[in-house]
Amino acid sequence: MKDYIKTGLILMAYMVVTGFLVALVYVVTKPKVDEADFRSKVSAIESVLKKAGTDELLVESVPNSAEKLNGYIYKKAEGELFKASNGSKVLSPLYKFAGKNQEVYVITFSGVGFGGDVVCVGAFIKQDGVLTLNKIEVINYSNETPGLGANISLEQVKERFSVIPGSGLENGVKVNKDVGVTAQTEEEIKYNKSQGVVQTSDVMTGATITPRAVANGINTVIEYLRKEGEI
Amino acid sequence: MADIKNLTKGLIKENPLFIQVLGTCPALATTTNAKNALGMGVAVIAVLVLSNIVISVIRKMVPNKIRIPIFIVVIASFVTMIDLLMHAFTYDLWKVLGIFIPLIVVNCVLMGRAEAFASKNGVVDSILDGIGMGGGYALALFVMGSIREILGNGSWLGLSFLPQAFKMYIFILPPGAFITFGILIAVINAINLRKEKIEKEKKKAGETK
Repeated sequence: MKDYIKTGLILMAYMVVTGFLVALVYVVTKPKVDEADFRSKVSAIESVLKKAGTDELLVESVPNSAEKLNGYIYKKAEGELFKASNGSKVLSPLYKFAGKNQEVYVITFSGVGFGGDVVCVGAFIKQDGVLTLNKIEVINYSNETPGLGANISLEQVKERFSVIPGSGLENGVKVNKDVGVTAQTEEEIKYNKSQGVVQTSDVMTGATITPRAVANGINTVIEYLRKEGEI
Repeated sequence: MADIKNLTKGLIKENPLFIQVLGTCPALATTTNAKNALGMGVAVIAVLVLSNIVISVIRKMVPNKIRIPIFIVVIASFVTMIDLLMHAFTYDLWKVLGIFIPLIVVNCVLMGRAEAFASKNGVVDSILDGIGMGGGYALALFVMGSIREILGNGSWLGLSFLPQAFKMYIFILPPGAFITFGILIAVINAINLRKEKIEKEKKKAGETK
């Protein structure tokens, strides 16, 4: 009996000491961790706020502190803002930046990929009541297969989702494999985008599920904005 | 006494992955390309050396009955601390290694070396053992990752050289991991058996003389 208590106490002592050390490291690194997380969030927002293909910002300036960024929050909710029946989500918070004659929504959304949610940030421009998708940035694809689905983060793949005009968003965004068309020229790719068909089969072969997740996410954003009466 | 053999034995002769068959889960999951495999390997070396040091230092203060839970606590808190520190100070690297770092906690190589070596040997030997075994594990992962990336994606360390038609996607997917793993174990075993045979023959020749 005495032996049990003794071993138990020794084990407890080890737990207390290591627990204390982990807590100490946590407290010391907390501000740095928050800052690093914030920085990566802002760099994603900054990237989608640039006009597709250029370095020109759609808004006057990108907020450089958490308080300033919070000032742009337009819609906020516990958990997600909206969830579609296929599992795609619009995540909170939703930022809105006002430009000269346009409004820019910066929206975080997710779609169900191969191994879990694929999370993206996208900038949607509203001008004269018409919504255009400017650019997306894929921020979490950690459950996708490296070499296949994880190629979603490649520049040439993200480019294919960049600038989807209002007519395409209206039709609903689809991956070209699901529609059964393959464009051969740049013009065709661009024309297909205006119909809502995004070509990915040539830049990320063998993976359809991951780009489909992104397309579903974009459609969910449109559904949400429609429901909220924004468009 | 420090023994240089503790450093070299982990590379091929007692390779943790191919001979001891420890830590196979991350080995199958993270070797889809050479770069990820290398990242995981380096992270394992770092944690293995640190946990070997600590376990070797406290080995005389650990009651035999509860040594396993104590080793687990030491390893888990080390991994958590490294995860937090990397998150704070080397954000980009942390992002790349993201899923691998928590995986290290369940890596049997660490438990295996803590139990089989560090809890019975001095600090210097344990450091050598950590570097050697970690190095052997990293090398094994790198070889596996390279084979899978070259055959499956036609590239090596991100440099693409094979056209689309030659890529065998099965090697990036889980079945390819098992195939590569099995063949590599066979190759390493064949090499070790051959070495033993040669040594035996040498001994025999020496005796008859």
